Amino acid sequence: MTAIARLRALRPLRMTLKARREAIIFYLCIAPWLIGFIVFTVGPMIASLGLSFTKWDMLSPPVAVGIKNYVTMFTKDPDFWQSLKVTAVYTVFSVPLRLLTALFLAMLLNEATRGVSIFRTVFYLPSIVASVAAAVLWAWIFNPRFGPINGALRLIGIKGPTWFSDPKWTLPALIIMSTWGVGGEMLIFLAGLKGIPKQLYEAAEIDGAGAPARFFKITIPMLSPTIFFNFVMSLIGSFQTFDSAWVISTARAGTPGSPMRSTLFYLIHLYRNAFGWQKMGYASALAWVLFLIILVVTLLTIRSSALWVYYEAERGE
Amino acid sequence: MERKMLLSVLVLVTMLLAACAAPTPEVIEKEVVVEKEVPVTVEVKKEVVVEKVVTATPVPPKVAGTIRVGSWESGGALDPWDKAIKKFEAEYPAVTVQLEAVPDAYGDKLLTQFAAGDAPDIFMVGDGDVAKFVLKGAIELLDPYVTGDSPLDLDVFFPGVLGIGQLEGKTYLMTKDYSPLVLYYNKTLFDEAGVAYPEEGWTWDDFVATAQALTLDKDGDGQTDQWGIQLPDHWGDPLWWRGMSPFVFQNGGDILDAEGKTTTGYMNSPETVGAVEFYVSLFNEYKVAPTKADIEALAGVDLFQTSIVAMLWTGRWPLKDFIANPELNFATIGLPKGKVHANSICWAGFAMYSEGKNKDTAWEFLKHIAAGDGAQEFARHAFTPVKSIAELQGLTEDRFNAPIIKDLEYLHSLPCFRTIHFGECVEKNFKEALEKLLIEGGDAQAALDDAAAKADACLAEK
Repeated sequence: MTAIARLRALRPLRMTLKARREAIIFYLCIAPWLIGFIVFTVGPMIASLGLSFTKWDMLSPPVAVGIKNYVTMFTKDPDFWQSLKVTAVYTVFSVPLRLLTALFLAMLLNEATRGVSIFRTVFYLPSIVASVAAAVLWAWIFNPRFGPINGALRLIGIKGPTWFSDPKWTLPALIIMSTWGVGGEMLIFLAGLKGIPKQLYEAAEIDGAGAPARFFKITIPMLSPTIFFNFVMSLIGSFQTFDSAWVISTARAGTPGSPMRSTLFYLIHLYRNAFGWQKMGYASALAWVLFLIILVVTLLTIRSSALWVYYEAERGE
Repeated sequence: MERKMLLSVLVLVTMLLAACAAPTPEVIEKEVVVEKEVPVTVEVKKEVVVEKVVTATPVPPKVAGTIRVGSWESGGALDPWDKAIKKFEAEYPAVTVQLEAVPDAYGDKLLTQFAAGDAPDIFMVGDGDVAKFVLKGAIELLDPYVTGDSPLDLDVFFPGVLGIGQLEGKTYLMTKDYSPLVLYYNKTLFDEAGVAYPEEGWTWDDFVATAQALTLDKDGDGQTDQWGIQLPDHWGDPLWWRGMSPFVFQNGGDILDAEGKTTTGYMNSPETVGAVEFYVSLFNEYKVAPTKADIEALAGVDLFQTSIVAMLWTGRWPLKDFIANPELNFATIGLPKGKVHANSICWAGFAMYSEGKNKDTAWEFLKHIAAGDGAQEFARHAFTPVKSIAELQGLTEDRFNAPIIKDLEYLHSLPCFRTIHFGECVEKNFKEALEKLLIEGGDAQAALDDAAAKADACLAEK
C-alpha cells in the first residue's frame, strides 16, 4: 500500500473524529458574520440587481422595465455624467493627496524619538471624528470671513475665495478637507515603515547614498505593497464619497450638490433619485453601475501592481 | 460604504415585505367593501337601541388598543405632542399612543415604512408630499369618518387651510399648522435711516426703494454692513422655491399649468421671467439682499435679530423668538403687491395610514389633535386651523398676527399639488436656472426657456 492510498483510507475516519468537529466549530464561529453577510449584504445586492430592471416608487409594487434604467442613465441623464465627473476629479486629486499626507505623517512618526504615542494619537484622532461633525467643523475653517484659511490668505495679501458658495472652489475645498482624516492609512504606512530592515539603510549609507536616494531606492520599493493596499482602499472609499459633500451642500438648507452641481457626487445623485424622487429602480441601477466602475478600476490597479509593487517573498521565485 | 450597505438593506427588507403584500388594486377593492359595511352596522345599532331602550347593552368600545404616531419634530416641538397624547389617554384609558419622532430623514423612513406596510397609524405630512401620498394610496380617505358614527364638522376649520388637505373635493388630511410668507421689519433701523414704515398694499417699487434706503455701508470700507432685506428665509437659501414663489405669483406668473402637464408658457412666460429678473436684481443689481456667499460669511448669526438686515421675508415660525427678544423693536406686514396680491403657504398636516390596523382609534385621535383638545396644544406653537381656537387666542386682533392672517386671503394655489413629479421635473429645473442666474448672471428668458424644455421632457417621460 502506498502512502497516498493509506492516507486516502484514513481520511473518512479522521473526518468523523476531529476534522468534522473542527468544521462544525468553524462554521459555528463564523455563523454570525456569515448570516449577517448573506442577509444584509448578498441578499440586498441580489434584490437591488433585480430592482435595477424595474420602476419602483416604494409606494406601489415594482414594474419591470427591462434595461430602460441603464439606457436612461447613459443617454438622458446629464446629472449622471456630471456626478461621474465630480467623483472622478475628486478621486484623481484626493487619493494621491491623502496618501502623500498619510505617508508624510507616518515618516515623521517613524523618525520621532520622543512622545511617539502622543503624536500617533493626535494624528489618528481626526479619523474617529464623525464625518458629519468633521464637515461642520471644516465649514468654519473655510468660512470666508472668520475662517483661519482666509485669515492666513489675508495676511499674505490674498483675498480668499468664498469656498462653499463658489462653484469653482467647492471641490478643491472638499479635496483639501479629505486630507484631514488619514489616520488609518497613516497607521498602516507606519507599520510598513517599521517592517523595513534597518540594515538596508545602513548598507546604503555606507555606500554613500543620500536621504533622497534612500527614500526612493529603499523606502518606496519596500513600502510598495503597503502603498498598493492603501491606494486601493482609498480609491474605493473616494468613489463612495457622500457625507462631507452632503453636509456642505445642504448646509443652511441648500440643494444637494449645490452650488451649480459642483458637489454632485455619484452617491448624492443616487440618494436623491432614491429618496428624493422615489426612483428606487433607477437608483439601484446607478448603484450597480458604480459597483462595476469600482470593480474595473480596482482590477486594473491590481493588474498594474505587477509593474510597481515589490514583494520580498517573490525574490526567490 | 455604510450608507451604501444600509441602502441595500433597506431595499432588500422593503422589497421582501412588498413582495408579501397583496397587489394594490385588490387592497383598494377591499377598502371599498369595508366602507360600505359601516353604514350597515350603524343601521343595525339604531334598531337595537330602539327596541331595548331601557336595557341597552353597551356597544363594545371600538376606541382601544395601541396606535402609533409619526412626527418629524424634535426637542421643544414635541411638547404639544406629549400633552395632547396625555389628554387623549386620560379620556380613553383603553388606548396607548406611541409617538415615533424621527427628526432626521423622516421622509426616507416613512417611505420605507410604506414599502414595508408598517407606517404609523397617524403621521405628519408636509405639503410637498400630499399629492404623491394620496395618489399612491398611502393615505386613508377621511370623508367616510367625517360623516360616520363619530362625525366631525369641517366648518370648525378655516376653509383655505382645510382645502390643502383635500384633493378633488375629498378630504384626505387634517391641518396641523401652516404659515404664509411674512415680512418682518426692524423699526429701530427704519427710524435711524428716517425711512417710513411699510404700509398695507405697498408695491414692488416701494419695496425696492425702502430696501435701498436701508442698505448701508456704515464704516465706508466699500462693503455692505447692513442690508435692506433678507430673503426668502432666515437660514440663507435663495433657491427656496416656496419662499420666492410669491414674486412669481405677484407678477401674474406660474411655473406649471393647472393640469400639471406642461411648463412651457408658464415657467418661461413673460410674467415669470419678469419676476425672476426682479428677484435676481435684488441680489445682484440693487444689492439690497445678502447673497448666499454673504450669508455663509456670517454663518451662525441671526441677521434680523442682530440688526444686520432691516427686513426679513420668511414664515411665521421665528415670531415667538422675536417677541421674546427685548432688544428687538419690530413689526410684521403683508408681502408687497406686484401686479396682483399673492402669497404662498407652508403647510403641515396629519394623515391616517390607509393600511393601519386600528383605524377607528386612529380617527378618534386624529379628531382630538386636529380639532379637539389636542389641537389647543399645537395652537400654542403655530397657527391653528381651528377658528374658535384662533379667536380665543385673539390672533386676528394681535398686532403681530393680524397682518399675517390678512395675507392668507391672497394665497395662490401650490404647483406641487398638480403633479407628483413636481420635485424631480419642475422644481429641480427651475432651481437650476435660478441658481445659474444668481451666480453667473445671464439672460433670464434663455435660462427659463431651457428649464421649461427640460421640465416638459421630464414630465412627458412619466
